[in-house]
Amino acid sequence: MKRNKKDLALLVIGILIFVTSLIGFSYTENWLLAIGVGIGTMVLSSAVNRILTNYSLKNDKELQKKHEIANNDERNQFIIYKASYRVYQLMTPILGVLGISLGIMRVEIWIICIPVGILLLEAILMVMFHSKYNKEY
Amino acid sequence: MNSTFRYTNSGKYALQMEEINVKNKLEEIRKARSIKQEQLADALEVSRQTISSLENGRYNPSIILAFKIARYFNLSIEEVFIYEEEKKYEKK
Repeated sequence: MKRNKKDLALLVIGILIFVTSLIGFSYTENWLLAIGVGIGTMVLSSAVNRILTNYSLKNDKELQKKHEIANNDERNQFIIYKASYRVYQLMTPILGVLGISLGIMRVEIWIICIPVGILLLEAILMVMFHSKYNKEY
Repeated sequence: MNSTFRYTNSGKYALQMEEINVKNKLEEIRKARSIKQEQLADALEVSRQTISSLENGRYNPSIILAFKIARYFNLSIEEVFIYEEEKKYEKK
């Protein structure tokens, strides 16, 4: 019940962000509102996904158990962690190459700052989480 | 089978590759007791693929799952899992 209320609240928030950003963007064409449309879509799709999943599992205990096992299964989690790590490993050189390519193409400096900023953010987050987990474990 | 690279600083840096093998008798024990993979997976609250991967040696379980498996069969961990550390080669 609590989870349903949370998902419904998320759905309403998603719709509000999406609709207001879309209406605002159609009048002003402000790029910040375009980001709002993106965020609204993300929140909305996440809420719809959660609501549909809960609804389909509602009356089927067997399916509920299978879903829970699939989510908590340690091999599945290991695969997710490994896949995420591989993606992270690949994204670092990809962002580096993107930054260099943009530099060669002589695009505006603020555009080059986007991949460079993401790389910097990745490095900062890595240090932060490394330090956090180092204290925890 | 997991491969790890260890860097030691004894005189020169040496790259040591070890193959850590955790073999198990899971399939043997399960079949001897006429238990299906699905039944074992349900009892341990893991997926059937996890049991299959464990039996094929493609996946090494966490210590918790290893305990759960051993307890399910009323055996000790050592009776189900065999830890082997084999030094493959050393390059200087």
